Amino acid sequence: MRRIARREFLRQGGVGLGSIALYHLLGSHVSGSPARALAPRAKSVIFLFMAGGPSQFELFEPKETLQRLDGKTPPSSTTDGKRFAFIDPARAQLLGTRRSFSRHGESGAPVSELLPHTARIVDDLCWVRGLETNEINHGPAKLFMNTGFGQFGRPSMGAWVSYGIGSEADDLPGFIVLQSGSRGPRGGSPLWGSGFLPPRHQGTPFRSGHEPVLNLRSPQGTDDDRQRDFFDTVAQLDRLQIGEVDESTIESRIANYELAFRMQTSTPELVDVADESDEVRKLYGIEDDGPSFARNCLLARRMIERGVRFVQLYHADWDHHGDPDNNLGEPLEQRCREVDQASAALVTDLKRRGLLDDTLVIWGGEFGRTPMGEVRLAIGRDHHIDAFTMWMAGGGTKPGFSYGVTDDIGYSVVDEKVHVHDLHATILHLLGIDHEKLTYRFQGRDFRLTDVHGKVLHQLIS
Amino acid sequence: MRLTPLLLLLSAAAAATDVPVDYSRDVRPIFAEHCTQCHGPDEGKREADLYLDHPDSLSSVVAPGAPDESALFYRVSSKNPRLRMPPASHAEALDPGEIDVLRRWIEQGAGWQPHWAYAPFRAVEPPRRSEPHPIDRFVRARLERAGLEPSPPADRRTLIRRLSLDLIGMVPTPEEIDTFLADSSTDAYDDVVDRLLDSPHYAERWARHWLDLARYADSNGFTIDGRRDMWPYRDWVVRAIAQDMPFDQFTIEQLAGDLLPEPSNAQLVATGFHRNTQINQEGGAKDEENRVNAVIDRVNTTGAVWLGSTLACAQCHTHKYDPVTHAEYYQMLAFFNQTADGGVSTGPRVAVTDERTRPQLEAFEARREELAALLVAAERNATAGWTAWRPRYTSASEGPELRVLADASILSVAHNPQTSLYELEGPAPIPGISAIRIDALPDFDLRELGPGRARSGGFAVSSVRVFSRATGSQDEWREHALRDPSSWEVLSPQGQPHAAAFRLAEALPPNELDLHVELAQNHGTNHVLGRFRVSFTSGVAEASVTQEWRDAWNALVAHEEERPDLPTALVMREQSPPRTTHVFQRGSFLDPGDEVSADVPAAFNHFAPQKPPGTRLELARWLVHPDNALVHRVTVNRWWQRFFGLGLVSTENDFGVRGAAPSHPDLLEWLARELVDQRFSMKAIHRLIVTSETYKQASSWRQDIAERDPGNLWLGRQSRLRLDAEAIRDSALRASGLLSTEIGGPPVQPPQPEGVFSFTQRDKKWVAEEGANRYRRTLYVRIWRSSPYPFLTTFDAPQPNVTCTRRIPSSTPLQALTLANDPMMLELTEGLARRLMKGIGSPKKRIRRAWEMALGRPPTAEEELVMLDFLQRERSRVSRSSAWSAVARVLFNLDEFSHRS
Repeated sequence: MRRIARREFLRQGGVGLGSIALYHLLGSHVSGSPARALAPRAKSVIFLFMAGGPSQFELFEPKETLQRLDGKTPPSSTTDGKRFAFIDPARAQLLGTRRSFSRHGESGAPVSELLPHTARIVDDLCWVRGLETNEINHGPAKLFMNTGFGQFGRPSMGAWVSYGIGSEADDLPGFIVLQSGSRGPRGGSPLWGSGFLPPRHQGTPFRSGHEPVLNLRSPQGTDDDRQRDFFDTVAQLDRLQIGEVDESTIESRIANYELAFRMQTSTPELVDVADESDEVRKLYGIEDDGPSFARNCLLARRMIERGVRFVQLYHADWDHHGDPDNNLGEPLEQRCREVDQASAALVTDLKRRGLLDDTLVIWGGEFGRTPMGEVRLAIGRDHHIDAFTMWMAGGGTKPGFSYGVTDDIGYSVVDEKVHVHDLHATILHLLGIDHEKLTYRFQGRDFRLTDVHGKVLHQLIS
Repeated sequence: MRLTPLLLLLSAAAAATDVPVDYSRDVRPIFAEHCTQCHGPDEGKREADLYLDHPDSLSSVVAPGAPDESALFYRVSSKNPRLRMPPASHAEALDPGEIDVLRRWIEQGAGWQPHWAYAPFRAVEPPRRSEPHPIDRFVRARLERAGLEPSPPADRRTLIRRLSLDLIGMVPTPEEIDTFLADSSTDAYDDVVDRLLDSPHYAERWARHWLDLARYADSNGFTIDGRRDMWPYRDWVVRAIAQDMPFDQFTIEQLAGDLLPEPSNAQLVATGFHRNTQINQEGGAKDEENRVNAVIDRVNTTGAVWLGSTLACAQCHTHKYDPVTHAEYYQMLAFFNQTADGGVSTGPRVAVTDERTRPQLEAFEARREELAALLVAAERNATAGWTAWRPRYTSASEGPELRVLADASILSVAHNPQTSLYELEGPAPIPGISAIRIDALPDFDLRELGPGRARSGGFAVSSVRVFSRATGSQDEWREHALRDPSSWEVLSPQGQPHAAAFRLAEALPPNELDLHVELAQNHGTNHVLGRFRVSFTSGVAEASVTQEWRDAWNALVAHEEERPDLPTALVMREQSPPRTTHVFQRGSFLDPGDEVSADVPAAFNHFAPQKPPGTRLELARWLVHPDNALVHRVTVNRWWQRFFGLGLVSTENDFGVRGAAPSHPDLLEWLARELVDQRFSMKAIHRLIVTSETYKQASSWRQDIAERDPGNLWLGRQSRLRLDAEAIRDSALRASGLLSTEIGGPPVQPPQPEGVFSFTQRDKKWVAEEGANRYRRTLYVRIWRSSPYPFLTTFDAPQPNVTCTRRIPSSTPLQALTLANDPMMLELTEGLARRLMKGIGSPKKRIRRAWEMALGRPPTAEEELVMLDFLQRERSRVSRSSAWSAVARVLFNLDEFSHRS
């Protein structure tokens, strides 16, 4: 008989779930988890996901050689046998940026004119400039960045973290997803799904507005007292089943209903930012009550203050190929205006509240963009998976540090390459999780977020 | 170390010296857990050329009867960390119990058997006991050995609720309960079983289980997630189950209905099973990549559904544990590699017909074929003197893909670019070419019928360039100038064919040449050719579209307007010419290795020594061959799981060596054989299971079972199961009196909370139905892959992106919010309230009725009191009808409502 740990047996056997759910819901600070073998540097994660793949060449990576070779045919080593989503390798031309750059802070990190607020916090940021991913189209690449696999079926990073170390939030889900911009990210709910992990670990998407969770509002004509009476009556009747049904199952059920009732109050309170000072609202650049990336950044801070483990913000429309509505001119400028101030404010605000030390902030998309331009009506670049840039802040990462060197035109990584699997391993490590030990057996195989890959990048850790 | 009680029991059994060690039960699991990752089937990763689960290899490290002379035993029991296996760097040492099992196994002769799941049927008879039902004899014998008593039968109310929920997926009505309670005949229970098995709702319920496996949805998935018409396939499944189609036929029609001789319309629709793969219509998505992903999904799904096997593991390398090699995976893939679908378009599809519409469609198709033949003839007349060219290679810049069709015309598909350069290459079809002709051909798949891809159907060719070089050479291409300017644009083509000819300045030499043709299209706004054909002549270069041609095309267009308005369904169809299949190295389709031909993995094929199967049809027939014990074990096990919550093999999707061993191996064997003997009747097996005392036991929690068999593997009681999402909503619908019992048809859209689509790229139109469709069974609710109906996902319905063999129930606060506050649920509480308020009667009587409608039983005195108190408080706050709605709301939110005992 196969040896299986009791917890896993119960979970996979689909029986006695009640007691397990209770364990996770109430005592969800799973200190004895085998996955948590290391001292954690970060308690929570805020992942600012720039959906579509922002251009590193317009934002963070000035390349003199690329400027000089603007309009020239790229070296054949960068096109022969390579995959592009749209570019025709035979006709590709290098594209120098039209944006001006300067170096900032003591660390001297280059940031373009498009991100003046980010430029002011560079000494808090840990740059990863040599990222590499496997997938070249948006859907698969977003899945890869989130689940370590280019197709559906695997759990997302937030779900793995929730499964591994639970959450410290008593009246909110442990993994929350927020969205801003014109639309949701390509790929949809599998990006925050739980795959084969128990469904309770999946991300809970919060919608914009005052009712971020579906069915959060009591039925019309039901005040708090009446709703309370309803919940109490349900619990009272459920308890009468104890004996016929095992007690922990019933208590787990009641605990869920209690959490639901608390969420009816705590969630509107969470998303109502009226109690934040004008100074804070100004810092983030929140102009009105409407949904925005800025408001989501502030909500993210409020969530991790309440113990939420993993918050992910999606901001859409970074896919600047060069169509009239989708290029490196005004559309890119607009995206930067939408996220720059609030991204920087989040880091600043966390820092001054002493929260940055144990909150890991991550900024980036599913891939970067090519050093070659596209032949379209406006200026744009194609998807690029061989070298792109993200930044992290806090949570034990080295501030004012840069890792990863790309070649003269930014096509390939020449030193300090970081594969997405390595990024995942490092994020888990910062949370105190050994990525090789955080496993789940499914169909006879022990699965990991990092599959059979991934190495922790100790160089990035302070 | 913590052991499960089950393991303790087994170890205790195996430790008793008089009990023989069983290789499959006791030894193989030790190898699988600790050894075969390095000493296993994967030759690439195999250490010391040792494959522990193979008899030849084992004999090199085991001396039967003599543990101390066996290298295997020496290495696992060694205290020397340098010698000990598994190596300290990899894993912990075996525990003493495991080492002891190996010692005694060697002492007893070190016998080897193939893995139980891959072995032929064993002859098994139910134990000789007094119980009349064969299932009970197996189960009671095992319980007795475990020292546990079975539970008494559940009471009649529980039984009918259990049967009703399991067989038709809804609570019974109070009238059905009363009839059963009043029936004192000995056949009362069996009569209920027969009634439910014959109910059309049985087919709906069990179709839903099958659709989980089939990854059914009503959209294409990925980013764009466009709508697709799959519901005729869903209805096919419902019909097949309603008529108890034998499982072998059920399998064959779904996997290969299109390959049956003269397949019926229904048999084509059945092949929708494997058309439930996703289609990525994102700009930049590649036809071939999308196709390969779909084919891989079909292999993996087939493996999980029929073989209970994790074939997917062999996609990148030979399986680490199970005997499936990397090459064998691609041999399986070769079966599925021949279909015409799988690009970024949704074809092929068929119109779905019934008795009424079939003659209509046949007449339409016959006339269409006549007209199509006339069109071909007209085209041929108009292009006399020209020879059509079928290029061997095509490419297009900026995203589109070029597909060469049977008539040598080329269709531009997938991404629609602003501009594009088309490049074509291949041998010259005739010697001495003097001119090139391009026919721009309208097509029903193009906007405004084309022939271009611009909004108007227009196109603009900026330049035509012709190059040549000696056949097969690697010389530089030599360009041949054209005599006239080569631009050609038709900005408003009116959906008509157009043609142009371009003379070469000098005719090409008469020797054998390869040609390279470039069509630059730089106009912008999608003015690129949609469908076109290139021809050459060595004679007079005149190109025109004749009136005959135009008339023939217009007749076809006019006829197409008359096409009967029938639903369509996606189906499988073989393409020709056939594709070759290669091993993908490390699983990447960009890195093809050796060529392979279709075959099944050798380890699974103990019964069919005849010629290896080659087509999907042969694969399907092989799968359901009466001797293919594995498939029948997997099938009955999954059914068993639906009735008990857990299969006899608890890892229902993994019958491999790392999967769980069967809790009742003989029962599984007998039941699988019974499936074959009962001529593959699903209803017969279901009847067999639910008429057993084992099934009829009470599910009440028991202290002794909780302590000694916490997983309830020995079946000392029934299990208490969380209802599926569909059963929860359908039961509420039925209790509310609002349920519409209409069967089949296009998907429906009951109310859902606003803003559900705010997290997906494309806003899906979701207009809530008015009237009966608002209250259809949940099976018929439209499923968008990117944002499924939230009630379904909240209650653990699977994401339909990959096959799901078992839903894992969860318990979350979002479920509470849904049942308590969802407007759709509240609507149903109002329905139930209206029923409760009907007629005259005391509140007590009405409360009793409420309990019976929702829970199938009267309340206890205490429950009645609690509810009466609640009702009174409500009455002091709100109107009478609101108070009764609140009572109904409480009932729908009870733990008992969403469980079956």
